[in-house]
Amino acid sequence: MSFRTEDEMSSRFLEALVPKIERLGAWYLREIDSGIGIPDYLLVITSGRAISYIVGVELKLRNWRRGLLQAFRYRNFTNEAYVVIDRDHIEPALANRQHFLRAGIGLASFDEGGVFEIHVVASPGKPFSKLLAERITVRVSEALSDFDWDPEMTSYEFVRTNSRRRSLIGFREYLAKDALSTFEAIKV
Amino acid sequence: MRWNIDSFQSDQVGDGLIISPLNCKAERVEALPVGIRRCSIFDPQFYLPKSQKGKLATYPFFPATRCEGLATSDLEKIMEHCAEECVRFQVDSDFEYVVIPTRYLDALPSNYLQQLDEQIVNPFLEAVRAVGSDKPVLLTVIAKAIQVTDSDQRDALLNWITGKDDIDGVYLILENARLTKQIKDADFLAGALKIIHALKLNDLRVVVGYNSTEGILYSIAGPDAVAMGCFENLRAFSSRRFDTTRIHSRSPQPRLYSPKLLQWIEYAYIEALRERYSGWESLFGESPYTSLMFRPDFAWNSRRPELYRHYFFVFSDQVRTLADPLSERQRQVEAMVDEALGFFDTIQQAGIYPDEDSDGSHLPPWIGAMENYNRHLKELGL
Repeated sequence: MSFRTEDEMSSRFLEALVPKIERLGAWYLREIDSGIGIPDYLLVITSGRAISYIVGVELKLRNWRRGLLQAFRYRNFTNEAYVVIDRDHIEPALANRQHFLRAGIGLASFDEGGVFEIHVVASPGKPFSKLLAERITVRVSEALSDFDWDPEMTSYEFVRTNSRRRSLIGFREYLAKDALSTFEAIKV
Repeated sequence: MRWNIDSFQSDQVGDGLIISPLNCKAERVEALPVGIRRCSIFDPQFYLPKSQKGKLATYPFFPATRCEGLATSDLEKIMEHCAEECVRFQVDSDFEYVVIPTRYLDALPSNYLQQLDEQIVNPFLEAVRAVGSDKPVLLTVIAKAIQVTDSDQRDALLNWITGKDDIDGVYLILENARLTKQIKDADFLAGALKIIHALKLNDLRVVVGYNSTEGILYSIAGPDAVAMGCFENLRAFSSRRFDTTRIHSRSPQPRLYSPKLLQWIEYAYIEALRERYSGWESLFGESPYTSLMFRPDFAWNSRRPELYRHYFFVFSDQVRTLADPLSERQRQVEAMVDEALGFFDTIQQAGIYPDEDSDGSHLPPWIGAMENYNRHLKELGL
């Protein structure tokens, strides 16, 4: 059965994935205003008292193209970005997977039963924009300070740390149990 | 205003300025160098006569200044004086034209043209005669979307304009309320071309105000001038600009004009272009401002003058290259559109996916509008 609203999808997404995200030692932040868009979620990995990696996530019931355009904007301030689509409506997105591959944006599906599958693995990289990455770092740091997290750096440092590769693999392992095999199968 | 004057004087951009009383005090207008005033147009901006926004109150002939607590029913009573002072101001200031203002109406009551005649146009034509100026007279006309697209309404508007013997031309404002930054309605664009063409056939001068990049498309119908605005609210007419009750809205995202793409590209895509698109800088043309803006640490902000001075510089260059005769100009614009669509294709191939306000989705409607306009010319036997 399909999700009726994005809110419903979002709540279920949290229930299913928060435990995995927390086991990874990552933070998740909901609807942080980046100045050029509001991702449904930012998954944030911290290394000591620095932000070391950010993934942007956009949930969509069915409109893959709108999701792709939004997620592409998030790459200005994230290391990777994903569009997650209701599994019942994933087919049109899969038929257009070349656009996700070309843009380096990840594509995943999610259903009511909590099954999460990555179909296209996002291409990781430095955020496109230093200005916007610095801005999101400040906002993320402010948001994390609510959890008594005391940031050491509030600049662009998160794109330069050495933990990036480890964090990336961690995300794939934790978010989807078959993500690595999907990754290998499509030979990105 | 200062940027526009600087661009006009230092960068030799454009052929003149449109002076906006909303933004410029009367005394400052009077202090402008005569060389600027002589080639510029003063837009009296009576769009919302009750407005007290900005610097409008510094003009004694502005209706709300002339009559405190102005009611619509007062307009006819005070307009004779307003018109005479306004015409005298334009003549004494030595502007290129005498501009007859207009009122903005949300809806179009069946007698609205008669209302405009009685409340504004006739008093101004009387004032022009009384002042005895030999300056050419432009009538401000706001064409609403329905008057642009519907042939009967368009004809009614054109009949009204061309029935006025005492005007020399029109300051034409084509209102297109939309949610997108660019006009994407081929019927509207075609209708706009037909209006401009019809006015030119009637030997009227046509100055098209409040344009974005579609000013280039409009040029194929042969207007005498297309105005280019700097901020977004000057590139598309909206009465909200004059409305004091308007709630303050968030500043728009900064954008940079690309002459090769015929589009304003949001800054959020500039760094992606830098990273993924070889030769990205050439998309934006050359201006004295690009080297500063293309520095990675440039602090993008929609109020930075460099964005608009760059636009004035490269857009003005683009307009100056437009060919004569008009048939050749149309071929040139078609080629510009084809080239821009080709660039957008290569941008997507490079893995860059701009949204609908930075992509090329406004350009196919330009092609549709030109095809529609050509059919119209053929029907007229031209």
